[in-house]
Amino acid sequence: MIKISDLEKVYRTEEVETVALNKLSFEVKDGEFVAVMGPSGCGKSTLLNILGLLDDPDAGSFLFNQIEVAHFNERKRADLRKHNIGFVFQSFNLIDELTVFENVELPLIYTGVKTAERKKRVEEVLDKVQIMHRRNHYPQQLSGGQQQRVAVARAVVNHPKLILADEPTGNLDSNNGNEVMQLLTELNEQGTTIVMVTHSEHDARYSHRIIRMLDGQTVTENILI
Amino acid sequence: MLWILLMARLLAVIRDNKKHRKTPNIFSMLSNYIKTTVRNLRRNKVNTLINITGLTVSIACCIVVYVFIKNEKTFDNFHSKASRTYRIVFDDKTGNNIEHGGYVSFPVAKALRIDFPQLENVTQVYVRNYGVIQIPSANDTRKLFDEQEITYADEYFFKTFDFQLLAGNKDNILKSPDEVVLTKRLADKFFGKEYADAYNRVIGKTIIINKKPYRISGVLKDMPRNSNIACNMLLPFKDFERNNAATMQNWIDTYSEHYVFVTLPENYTPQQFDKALIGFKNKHLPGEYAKRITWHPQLLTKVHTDEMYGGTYYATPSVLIIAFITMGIIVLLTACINFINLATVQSLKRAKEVGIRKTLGSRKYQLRLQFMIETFVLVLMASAFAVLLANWFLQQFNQYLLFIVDLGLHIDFSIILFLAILGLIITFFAGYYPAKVLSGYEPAKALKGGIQAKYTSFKSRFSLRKVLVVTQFVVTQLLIIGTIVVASQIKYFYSKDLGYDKTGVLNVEMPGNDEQKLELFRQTIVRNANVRDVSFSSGPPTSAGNGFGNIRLPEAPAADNITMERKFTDNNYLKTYKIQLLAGRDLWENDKVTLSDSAARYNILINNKAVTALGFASPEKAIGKNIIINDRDVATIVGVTKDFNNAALQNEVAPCVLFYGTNWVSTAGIRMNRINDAATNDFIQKAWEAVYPDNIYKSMPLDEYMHKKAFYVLEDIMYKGFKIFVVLSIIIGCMGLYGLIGFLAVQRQKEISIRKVLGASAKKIVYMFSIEFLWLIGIAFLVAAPLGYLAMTSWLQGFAYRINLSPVYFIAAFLISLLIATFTVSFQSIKAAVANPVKSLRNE
Repeated sequence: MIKISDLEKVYRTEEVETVALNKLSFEVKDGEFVAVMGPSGCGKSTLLNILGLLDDPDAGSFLFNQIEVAHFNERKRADLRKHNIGFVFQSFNLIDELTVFENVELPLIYTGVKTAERKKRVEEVLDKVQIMHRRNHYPQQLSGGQQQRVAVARAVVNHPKLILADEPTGNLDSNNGNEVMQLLTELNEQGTTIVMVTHSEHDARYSHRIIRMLDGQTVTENILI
Repeated sequence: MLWILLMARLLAVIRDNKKHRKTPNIFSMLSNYIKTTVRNLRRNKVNTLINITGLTVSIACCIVVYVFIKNEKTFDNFHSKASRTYRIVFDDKTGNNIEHGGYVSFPVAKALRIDFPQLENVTQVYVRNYGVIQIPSANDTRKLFDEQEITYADEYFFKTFDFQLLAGNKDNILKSPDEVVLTKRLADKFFGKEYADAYNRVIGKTIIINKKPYRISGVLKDMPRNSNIACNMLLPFKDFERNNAATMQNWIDTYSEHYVFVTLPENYTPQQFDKALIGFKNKHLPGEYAKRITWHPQLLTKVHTDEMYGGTYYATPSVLIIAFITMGIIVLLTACINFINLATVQSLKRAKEVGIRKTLGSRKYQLRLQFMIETFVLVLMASAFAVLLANWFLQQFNQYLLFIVDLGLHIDFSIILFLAILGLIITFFAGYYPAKVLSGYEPAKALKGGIQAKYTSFKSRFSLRKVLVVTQFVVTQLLIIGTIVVASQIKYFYSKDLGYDKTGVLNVEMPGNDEQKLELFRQTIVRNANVRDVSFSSGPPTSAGNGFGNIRLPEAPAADNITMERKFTDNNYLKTYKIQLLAGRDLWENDKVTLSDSAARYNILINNKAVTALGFASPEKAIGKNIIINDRDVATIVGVTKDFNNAALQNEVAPCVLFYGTNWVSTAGIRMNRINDAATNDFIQKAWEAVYPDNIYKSMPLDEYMHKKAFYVLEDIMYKGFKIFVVLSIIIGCMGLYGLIGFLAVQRQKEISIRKVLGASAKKIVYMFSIEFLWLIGIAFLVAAPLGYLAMTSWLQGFAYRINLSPVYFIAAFLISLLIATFTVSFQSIKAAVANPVKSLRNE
């Protein structure tokens, strides 16, 4: 599914140059659940942004389903993203002006799904994350765990092949955190590939494989299953 | 343009997507955008209020300006033959000087009818403009009405103009000299409600106009105000002919307000007619005049706005139109600037949403479209309010500006189209930049809150924000400068020494020249101890249109003629108005003369300006000399007066001749010891009404008459307009500033808190906020002052007597804008400065 080789990314300001990724290479197979760990500033988030086509690498290759996407223009990236990738963030990132239902519906609008079909799919997925009863609430009216379940629902409503999760339990207590991890595991069992950035060894144990990073490079890989 | 490109792009994408079976459902997308928009507007109430108010007011102003201009541009275009109807105008070339006019002598219309049988119609009107009307009633208590806008029209009038008759027969009207056609308004006024909507019953009734009976032969629907020939009453031209047989044969003398209109047949071009008019004038005009004068057809619909040949009574000066358009644009600009400022400063709040939408697959154009739609929704709401507000504005406009037009708001296709275009323009100007900024955010950064306050900071040396705020201050300062200067000039008008004493004189309108009646009136009122002097004349010292003519020395050729103003006065004129005599003597009783068509000899006074113009070395040297008036009369100069402003202050003092003429008395000047003495005024009115029982008494203190009547109408309207726009634009600007500072304060809350923790006082923080704006106001002043100086200098060029542009005006404008801005800024900055620092630091 994903193959990156010699990926480089450097952030420059007028005075400082920060190397975020330094000739990083690894592969993620279809159906895998991979956790990426490492201290703050090791390049995890940069990696996730590049994998999610939200950012360009400066050098190196990024094959997504055997297609080189490293230098796609914005339009192509947006197209690829909306059909193939779902995101779950630490801070949920729901749109405050939209209800639960409307937030989850949004990716389907961007991919052009018809109204009736949208309704069906949104309700299905809301049911799955057990938040159906709150469908007409606004994000501010929900608890953190509920918000993250909505975010997961939004990430999967389009049946993406890949889910990128950026510390999905970072803002949650352990009960809610476990619930979300359970959800991700179920999705993975149904065939979705997952790449998750986390600080939590506990969460990482849900994955098949842990990639540990330091200073923009992979240091070790632990196979868990 | 870009809006269109954006729409085209959108359509292309829809097509494109259809091909690939991946249609982003446009309606779902729109409904999603509109949902977000409405909720966003609801959530940011202050912001929304500021934007909607600003946009509403400015769109309303634009509607008013539009209605005003549409009214200007549609004069007389509602007649079915308007495109083939022309007014006859003249060019009069003497030497290098060409005079233009829209009127011709009286025999022209009849001769055109005979010489050009191919013309579809020829009609003439003569605007008479004033009359006293009596309605004989059963119990013989006769009612008197004082009516304006009375016009003589011939029997061909209705063949050219499509004014609708409510009663009477179009084909059989205005044919006899003793009939009259009233408008509905007058019919209602004269006969009351019982005849309303039954105007056939009014036909045949007799009314008395200026003491002559006329039979009502028609009732007109009130004429639309966007017509050059709109009037309240039509008198038959035959009536005029009957009393002016000589004038009807006179090809040379012209009368302004006498217009001839021809309707050309379909196959006859105005160029052909123009050529044919050369033969026509050569045939009829005497030799010398045939050489000087050419006649041309001027399209009816062009009459109103034409400045060369002069519009008719209702013409609006183009300077006023330009001023109003400019002010409309300025107010609109202020509101757009507010919008851009508030939207960009608020954009940080929206960054997260942009990040999420992009992550979920939204493309840049979709986001741009979303934010443009947000702007559009706001503009749409504002437009709806604006229509209501504009309606109210127009009502005020009609009243407050004492306008000669009657404007109303009619929702028709053209105004909807205007609003649609205006809405798109505003959406584009106000919405494009914020949309561009927002849609450009990188999603990864936006989600992490890493968007730098690049667009919102005041720190960078040149930010768009600074430019916009400076622009707003420039506009405000310009308007303030304009208002101060116009107000000062008007004040100067009213306070300038005019060379005579305008206080203490009562100005009474006189209905005629009858010497016995005048004498009777004089003798009655001088018995009152409060009355000091009485003078009958063609008008007070400063008055327009007292008749112009030419003067020259007897030995000089006709080419040396000097244009002068001729005042018909009496032997009390100088005393009554306190005009100083420089040499010679005042007019005496035996200087009295009644002018006739044959040459005459009489004694005159001239003003000092005429002394110089005629080339006399001094006033004394002019005494006893003869001059020739209008190439005919021989007049002996018996006295020279000091110059007084005989024309309005836009113009220089003109050479002036005063003589004791009995032909033209329209005014009595009554000098009193106490002008506002009710008993005396009552006494004068009673005396007047005893002498003129069939007329309506009208009087006004002279200084008030100068204010109200005549001379500074345009300046007054401009001043009033300035005041309105200044207030509006300051309010809108302040609201924008208020919102802007509010956001900046929130944004800089952390900085403020750290400063406070480190020991900064609230005063220091308020100062820190204010100083940035003071700089901007200073920069704005550097732009506004020279611009204002240039604009106001050029405006003042239009006045022969004008104020000097003192630096005080500019400093005052600067201080006023400073005061307003400081006041606005301090509201928000004090709030930020006194807030608890711990609170905001913890939030971080």
